[in-house]
Amino acid sequence: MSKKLSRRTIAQYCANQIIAKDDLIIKKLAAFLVDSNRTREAILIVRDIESALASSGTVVARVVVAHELQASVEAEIKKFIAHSTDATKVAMQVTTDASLLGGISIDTPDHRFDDTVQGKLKTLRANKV
Amino acid sequence: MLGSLYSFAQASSGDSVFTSIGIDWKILIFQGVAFLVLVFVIAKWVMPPLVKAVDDRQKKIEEATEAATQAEKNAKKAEESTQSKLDEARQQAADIVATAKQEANAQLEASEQRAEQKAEAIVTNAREQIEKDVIAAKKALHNETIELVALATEKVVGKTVDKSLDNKTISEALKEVR
Repeated sequence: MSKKLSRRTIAQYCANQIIAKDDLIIKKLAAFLVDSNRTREAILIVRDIESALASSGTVVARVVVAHELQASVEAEIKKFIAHSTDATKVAMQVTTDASLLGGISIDTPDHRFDDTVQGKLKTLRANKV
Repeated sequence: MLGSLYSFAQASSGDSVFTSIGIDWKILIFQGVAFLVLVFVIAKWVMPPLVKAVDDRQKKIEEATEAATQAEKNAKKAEESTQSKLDEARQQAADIVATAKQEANAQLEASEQRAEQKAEAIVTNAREQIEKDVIAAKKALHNETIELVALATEKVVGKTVDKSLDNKTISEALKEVR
């Protein structure tokens, strides 16, 4: 009976493959998870992969904004993430959510930056006694 | 006996010194003897019972006087005793009244104190309640203000912020954080 691989081991392997530019690694991972009946761990494994990539200098950041970003602003955001995380490479996932009203939210494996209007209103509402 | 005496006197009467001054010595003797007999009779039969009666009466009077004196003494004694008892009773009554007054005053003071304490407690409670109400009102006002500001901000920002303004704001925010 084969030993169950830990999430960390799987994540580290996938991260190494991504850095080595293996385009099929994600499909392989998906197949592995289905085969080993571990599909529920998918999200956790993805986060572990992101953490492993961040340790190697590649940061995956989820960026949420209220309006479409201009190219210059996107570049500024990338610069900001690279500076904050000491990353050599930054991969951004940008999504738009109008309910944020304005501002930006940046999520990396180790940091969270919330400068949205909705976030500020939440903080304000949290000050209710 | 008297008749014979009278006859003897008539027979032997003659003129003497006694007749010169108008005294008949025979009648005188007779009257003397009669007197003596009368005295004897009175002394023997009348005086003793009379004296006894007088003595008895005297004795009774003395007894009555003594009884009256004793009764007077007893009455005086009784009066003195009654007076002293009355005095004692008056004194006791005065003491009771004084004690009752003292107790009434003490009760009145205690009631006043209790009423004062109750009033103070009511005032203190009212003050505390007012303070609590003020604090609650301040909290409610604080929360309402926050909510109103948040709603107003949502409405205003939702309408005024467009893509370019948002991008500009994001750029400035990133510069500030750096």
